[in-house]
Amino acid sequence: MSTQAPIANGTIAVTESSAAPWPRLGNGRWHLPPALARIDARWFQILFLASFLGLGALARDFALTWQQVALTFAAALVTQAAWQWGLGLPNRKGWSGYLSAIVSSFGISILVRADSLWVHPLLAALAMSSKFVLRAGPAECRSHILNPANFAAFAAWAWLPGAWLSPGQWGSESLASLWFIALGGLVTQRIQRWDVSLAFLATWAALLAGRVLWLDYSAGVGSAMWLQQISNGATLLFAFFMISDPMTTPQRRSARVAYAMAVASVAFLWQFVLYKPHGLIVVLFAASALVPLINTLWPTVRFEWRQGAQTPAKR
Amino acid sequence: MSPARSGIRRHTHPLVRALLAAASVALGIASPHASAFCGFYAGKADASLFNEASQVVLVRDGERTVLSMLNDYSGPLSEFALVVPTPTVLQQGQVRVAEKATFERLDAYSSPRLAEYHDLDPCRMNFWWGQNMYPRAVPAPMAAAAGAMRSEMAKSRDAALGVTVEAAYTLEEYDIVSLSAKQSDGLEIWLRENGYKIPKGASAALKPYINMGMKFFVAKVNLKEQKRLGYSMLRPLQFAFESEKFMLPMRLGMLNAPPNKPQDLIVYVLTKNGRVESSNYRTVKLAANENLPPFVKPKFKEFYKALYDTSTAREDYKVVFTEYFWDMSWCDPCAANPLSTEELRKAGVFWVGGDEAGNFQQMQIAPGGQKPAQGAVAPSSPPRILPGRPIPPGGGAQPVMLTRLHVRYTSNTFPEDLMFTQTKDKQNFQTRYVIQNPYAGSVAACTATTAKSDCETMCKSRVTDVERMVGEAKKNNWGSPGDYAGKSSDALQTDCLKACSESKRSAIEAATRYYERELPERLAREKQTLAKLTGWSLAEIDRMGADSGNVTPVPVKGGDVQPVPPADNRTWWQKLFGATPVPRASRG
Repeated sequence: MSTQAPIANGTIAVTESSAAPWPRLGNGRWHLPPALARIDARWFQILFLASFLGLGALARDFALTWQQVALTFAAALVTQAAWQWGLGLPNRKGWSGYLSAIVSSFGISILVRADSLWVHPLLAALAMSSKFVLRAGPAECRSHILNPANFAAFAAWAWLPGAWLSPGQWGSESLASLWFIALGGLVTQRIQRWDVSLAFLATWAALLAGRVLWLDYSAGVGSAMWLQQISNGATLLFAFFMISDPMTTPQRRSARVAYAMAVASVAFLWQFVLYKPHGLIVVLFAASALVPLINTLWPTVRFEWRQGAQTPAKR
Repeated sequence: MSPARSGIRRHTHPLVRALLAAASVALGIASPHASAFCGFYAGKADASLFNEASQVVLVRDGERTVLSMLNDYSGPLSEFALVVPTPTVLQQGQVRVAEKATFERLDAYSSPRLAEYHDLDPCRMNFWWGQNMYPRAVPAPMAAAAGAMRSEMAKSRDAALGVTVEAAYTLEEYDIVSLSAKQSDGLEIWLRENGYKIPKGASAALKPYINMGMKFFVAKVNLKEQKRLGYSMLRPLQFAFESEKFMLPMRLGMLNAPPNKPQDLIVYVLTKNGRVESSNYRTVKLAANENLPPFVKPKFKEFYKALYDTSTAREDYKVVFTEYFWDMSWCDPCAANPLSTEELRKAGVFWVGGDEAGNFQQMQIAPGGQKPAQGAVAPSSPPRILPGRPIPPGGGAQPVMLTRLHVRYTSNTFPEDLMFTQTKDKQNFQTRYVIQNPYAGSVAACTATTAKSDCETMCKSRVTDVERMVGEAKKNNWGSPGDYAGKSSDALQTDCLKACSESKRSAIEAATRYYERELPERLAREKQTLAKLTGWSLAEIDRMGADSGNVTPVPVKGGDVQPVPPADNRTWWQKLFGATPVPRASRG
């Protein structure tokens, strides 16, 4: 893992997840009005994540205070600025990096719970710093390794006192709406990572169905259980807003589909065979380390946020 | 198993009510009605409120788990049977008979509580003239079985059914068998052949647990032993085992219930590190710390029941409610004293006591002896800080955290067994409600009281004091006594009289404001809160307003510390449970 300055081509290696495909113009299918298509996909992420946080705080009584949210945002933005300016990046005056910081801040606020005020800003600062410090991969798609929100969630669970994750917090009722919004994200976003989300969800759903069938639950109970499991809000958010991060998943499509399926499979083992908690977060965290290797073995051009599509990284 | 088996079993009505329970196990199913136990604490809404509530104590650290189950089964004991899926075969020594008192103590300690405060008399003459020549900061008061003689024939029958009897023993009044099974229909047939009446659908419900590799703990009452021991009610069973699964297979307990009939389950989870919540259902804190109209006091139980009914219905019986989370070394206010070390060990908390027994005993003998137990509700007491209770047991060494979870579920709303996760949350939470009693006075009474204060007389003595103090100040160089300096006696008297009549006026004003505006507004707010929390109509609440009574708290006594055996190389559950049960062979 190197610690050298990220990218020299003027686009900070902004990050974060996001869903969804926007089949590009010209492929004979859907397309956005040009004005909308020019908008950075992260604006949509911010909109959706803000609505999730609002829904969670208001309707799902998340154990979260506004001070924690404010500190998360402040720490993430300040950390992002400090790295941009400290490293003297050419685009340090640009706003692009801050968009990523905002997306990460929403992710951390939605995922992490703490009984103090220092946990959230510390995690935000660590998560943003990880983008600048933990970098690897072949030259044409060199990037940070960890999805910041995933890193923060893992750190909260594994390392920090007084911090925890609350995977049951969404319940499984508002799910129709959450599905809906996530799908909305899928349609409106155009970062071409729908393949990861779908590969993950399909594998996850299939494994859960397989488990229910293998354990031989009666049809009624089994199907209700399966629905309850796959409609878990935390799982959907993970599928659409974390594992779909174009920066921290393999760049080549075949590789990342396999990657998503592998993450789902190992997380399933972790959670339903070994009975360990927080399978998705833990396994994605561990699997992220393999991504630079996968990108080296199957190199491809790197994703850039601005264009919202894969373009060669100008190095 | 052959019909020639145990006489007891043949006496056993074939109509056994199978209580399929679990945790890594399920919970009591059939329970006609709960028998309420007495001795309630006045301002407390305990578990007995909720009919058909199964109670489980789940003690867990790492993979070590101690599970106790209390069923409110009240049918004939000869018809009682318990089938519990367990992660491992429970050998002799891993099971013991627990005490119902443990549940009662945990319930009492963690019950929703009502805290009561009293307003001060608003009619106060703040007549400080001449009293604070050198004002300093006044410290404001801080607000507030199976046979042992089993024949070869029976064994071959077992083998044909795919059922292996891994252990069989009698534990006090229970006949216990630990089974492993290969197929659920074989298990169901085995249970029926051995005199357990299994509810319909049992086979289908047992199947997933068999496929998961779980074993089955099966117990029924040995009536002869029970008679000999002299018990008439069903005592809880407690299991100690190690398992990676942090869960309660409550699904099995739903077999006897209609799909839409809600059942209640109260889980007391005792851990070392933090609050426990469900990882596969939403866990929600009940509305708490709300101010209620004072007349709710005698109806506190009804209030809490309505609150819980409303809250669960609003969530469509899909959530787990947190009723209490607290470090067990103290409480504030206390609905009952925290559990003693001995009581905690009886509850299965294996990390207290033990080698530290000596220390704990020392700590139990608090300086100044034992304080009398106090309740959160003490009628007619002056406003006070409710007693916090730092009591040693959990404290000092390793903490004991109690999470009380209350679930009202139906078969449809909880399709999956309840899984838990321990958070690192240490923020205390309790379902505490507050009543603030108005001061029993009136504007007229205030007017009369103030009128009785004789300003002339009071001022005379104050002026004398002030003059003396001014003299002293001058002599000792204390600095200028401000407004009082350099004035004649007459001027001081005038000032004092002015201040006195001003304080009378403001006392009456304050009383008027209090009785005519603040109190009615507060009561209206409290009624709104009550209506919102309980779903009661405002008209109903207004009717309720009239009858209010006095409720006297009944203190609950803390347990005494008893010597704990010294450390040895027994297993952790042997250390926890002590003596091993009598082998079944002794039975006739």
